[in-house]
Amino acid sequence: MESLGLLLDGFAIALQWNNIFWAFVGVLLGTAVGILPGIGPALTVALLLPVTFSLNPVSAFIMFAGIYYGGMYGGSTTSILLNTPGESGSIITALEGNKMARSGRASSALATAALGSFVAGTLGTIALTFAAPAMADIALVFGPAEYFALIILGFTTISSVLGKTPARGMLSLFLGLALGVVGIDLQTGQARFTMGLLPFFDGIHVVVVAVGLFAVGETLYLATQSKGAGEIINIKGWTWMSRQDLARSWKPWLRGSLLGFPIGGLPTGGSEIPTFLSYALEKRLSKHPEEFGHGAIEGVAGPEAANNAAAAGVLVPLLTLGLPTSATAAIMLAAFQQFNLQPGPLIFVTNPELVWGLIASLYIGNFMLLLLNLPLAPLWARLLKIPSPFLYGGILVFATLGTYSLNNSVFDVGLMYLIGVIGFYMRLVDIPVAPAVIGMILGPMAEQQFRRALAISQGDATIFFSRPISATLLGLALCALIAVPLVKYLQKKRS
Amino acid sequence: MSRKICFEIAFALGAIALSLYLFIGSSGINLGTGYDKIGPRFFPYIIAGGLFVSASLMIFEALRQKSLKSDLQFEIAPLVLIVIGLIISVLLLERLGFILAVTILFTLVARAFKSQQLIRDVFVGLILTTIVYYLFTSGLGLVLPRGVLSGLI
Repeated sequence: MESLGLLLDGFAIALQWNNIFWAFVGVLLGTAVGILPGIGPALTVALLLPVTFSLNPVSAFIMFAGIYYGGMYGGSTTSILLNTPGESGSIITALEGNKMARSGRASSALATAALGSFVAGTLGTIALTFAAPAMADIALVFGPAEYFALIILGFTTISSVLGKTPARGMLSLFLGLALGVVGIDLQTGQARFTMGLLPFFDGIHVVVVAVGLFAVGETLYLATQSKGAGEIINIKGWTWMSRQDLARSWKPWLRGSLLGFPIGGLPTGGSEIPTFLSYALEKRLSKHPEEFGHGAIEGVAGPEAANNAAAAGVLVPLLTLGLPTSATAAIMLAAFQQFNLQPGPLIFVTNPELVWGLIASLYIGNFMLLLLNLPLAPLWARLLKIPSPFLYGGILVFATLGTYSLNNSVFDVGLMYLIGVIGFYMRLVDIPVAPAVIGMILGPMAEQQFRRALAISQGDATIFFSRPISATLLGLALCALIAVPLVKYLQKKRS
Repeated sequence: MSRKICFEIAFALGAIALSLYLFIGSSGINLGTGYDKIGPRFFPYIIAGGLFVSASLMIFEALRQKSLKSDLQFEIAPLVLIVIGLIISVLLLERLGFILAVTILFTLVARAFKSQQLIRDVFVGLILTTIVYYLFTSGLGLVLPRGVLSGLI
């Protein structure tokens, strides 16, 4: 129960007035960007990185955590009222939630989403409190070979899970890896692919890539699609749910949380998988299966809980292994590096005030989010009325601002715009952009661990297969690489 | 062949060209000295190979697609407007300054999203960029280009 004592220390930090303030700023921003279409938590954290240079890292991460959790709450509001899921985790919420809203039950749908997010977020954070130190203890025995194997496992699963086909995910991943190679090689000090351009010697900053892909790429895509804006369903007054809705919701919340946290915590990523599983499970268990497809409350409650619990789960590999499995987590890892911190088992020893302050702030942020979202969802929904010319014009103003202030460099701005145009092209041909961001940040880590492992083994490559943990992880990666196409092939054969 | 398949193949061909560039470029990286057994060339070679394989697979997939429910569709005009805005913004950011250059970008993006009220958009853009400018320079201590307005702000 050492965790509890450390958590209490964390609360002592998170409950300082200035940290409560930053948590509040984070959840406000997070909810807002979650609701606004075209902008999400990954982009927001990326844009805020230059601003937080001067902030104390504990406060900065407390704010980022608020944005991360807040984005989940806000995303469900947009899915329900506008039927345009902002992120892949809320696709399922839109399915039943928008149907509920159309039949006049928007208030119940919003309430079950907010309460379910709170229940799952809190359960997920409790699980994180105990799983993270345990995982950090295991990770202490990890050497370079194990880290390399783990990153390879992450690469294979991330690229096969995200995207229409594994080839497209892989292509995006390798593009990210290629961007990550640019600059001075850390081990030998040699320049690689700098094309003689001075700004390339320091490497390409992940913020430049993330902002280009998420802000400029998305804006271009939305501007060129002639689909009119969706119909926003109006609601007035406070959000609340009836006793009967509550009776139908609480079990899906718990089941969704149980599904979401462990899957989110795997080094494989993909917040949409637990939401799909939860939806299928609720449909099977429901006493009203005929309502599914026409607005069943269980179909909102379960997946929404699964999504939030998975978001908490993603923090386990991020904090204990330094392994990001989502775009937002990748940007958070870049933020850690910005402050010269390396997430991993040692950070629990070297920076306990940061880790535990962050975890404690998740409890507080979740509570704030419940208060902000449960009764006030209709108020937040007014953000959806911002005219799209202003919204996307504004997004590009902030994208330019954030990128310029990284290094006070116009070169970065131009590069960001260029990457944005490529991101637009990628959207057109169904190539997911998240693997590129993750590959860009993990690629240099993979290379470093690979070379370190071989330096230790005197160049003997069997080190990756002779150490049991590393061999198992690489075996799993190989399975993931083979399994996905195999399952698809078998499905095709059967049908 | 549908437009979408053409676009997919074009992207994959671009990726293959990049992989060849990486492959050739890798052999030109100085090896440096030290204990490093692998050297700085190994990973770029792997990445070039991976890019080549995944792009080739994508071409293979694109050619095997038979029927498409909906072909690729996008409007050219908004694309052109925004790209012009981006080019103006990056070229004039330091000369005109953040406020004016980004207001032009804002206005062109608004136009791309079917706004018809040019004067209103310029006005809103100016107010937004001015607020943002002061918030982030005076408020948060960042440095943004002042450009031609440097006497005024």
